[in-house]
Amino acid sequence: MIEDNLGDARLIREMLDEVFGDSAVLVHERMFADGANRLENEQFDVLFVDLALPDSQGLETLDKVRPFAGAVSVVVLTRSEDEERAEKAVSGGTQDYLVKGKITPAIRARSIRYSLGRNAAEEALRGSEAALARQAEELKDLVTVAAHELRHPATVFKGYSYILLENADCLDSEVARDALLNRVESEFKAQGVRISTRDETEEGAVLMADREKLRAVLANLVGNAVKFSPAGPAVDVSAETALGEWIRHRPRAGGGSIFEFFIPGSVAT
Amino acid sequence: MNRPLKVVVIDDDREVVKVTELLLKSRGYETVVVHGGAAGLELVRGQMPDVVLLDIMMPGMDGLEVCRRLKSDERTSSVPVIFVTALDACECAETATSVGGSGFLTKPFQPTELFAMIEELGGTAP
Repeated sequence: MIEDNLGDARLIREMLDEVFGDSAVLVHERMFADGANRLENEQFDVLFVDLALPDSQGLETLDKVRPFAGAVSVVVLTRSEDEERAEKAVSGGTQDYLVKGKITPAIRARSIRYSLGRNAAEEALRGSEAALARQAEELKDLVTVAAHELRHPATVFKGYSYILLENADCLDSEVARDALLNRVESEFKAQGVRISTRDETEEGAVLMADREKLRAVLANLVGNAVKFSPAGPAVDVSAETALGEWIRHRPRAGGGSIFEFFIPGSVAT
Repeated sequence: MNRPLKVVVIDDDREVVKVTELLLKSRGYETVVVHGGAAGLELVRGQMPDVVLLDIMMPGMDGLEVCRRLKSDERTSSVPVIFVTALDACECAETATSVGGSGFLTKPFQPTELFAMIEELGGTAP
């Protein structure tokens, strides 16, 4: 409290005792400079400040108090003729004002409400902190569970990929052409599909794949191509080597879809 | 004459067990699998394998408890246990070692890494 009038200071002290009892400690200075010095060096929760002090008056006091308004709740003590000014002070960053000579039961009630409101706000803050901590904990659990759930299928994929690669047939391009293109061509031609196949694989290309499964995959893809082809059942199938590539997107002139899939393999050098 | 390494796999995830079994068999190990901690404990006592692959998070008796019991039983205390878990490695490696685990692999593991660890711990069977 920065207040030069000892009578006013006593009233504030009594009010604080009544509302907070032992839980509030009041530090009292009579000059603004001394009060400002303490504000800079110590931590306070609330500042009661008289606007008319021996070393600082009115708006000047308000301006000097403003830098502290973030760290402490500022309650301006003012005379009744300055009430309008105090109202402005409240909107300018201070939390409340008390009009001297009117510190009556009504004011006490308001102060109590104020303190209760503040307590409620702190309670709410503590509550939301706890909720936030709980949410953070839940999020952590979710991530752990998600990671756990992803690691299992990843293990399965990785394991089967290894088994497939270790046990895959090696199909040279002659065999591949027969297994893939010729057989698929005859199969779909028999179903009335206009299908044309083209082999553009490099000389010496070797595929690592199970012949029958590869044929089934290709039959599926061609089947889909037939089903979704807007121009009717006409399908082009081509095989080519695409070293170093795993995924490719090729827009097709004039619309339509290109189904592409890649088979691991190698090209003899 | 060499007999193949015998490995027991204890994991509650059936897909993981299936692929692990295939991997181990493709490598030529004799492989026995089981889907729970308590059953795993019994299986190890009955089979006396060269290496145990043990999941940590399982309903009922978890892997850490299975390992503790294997290590406190003199019949099975010398069987090396490799923990294979989906848990974060840094969180669990220490705990795994403290209950007597010999190795630790995080899912998804590299099959070659698994084989190397099994062969290092299981040794070449006579």
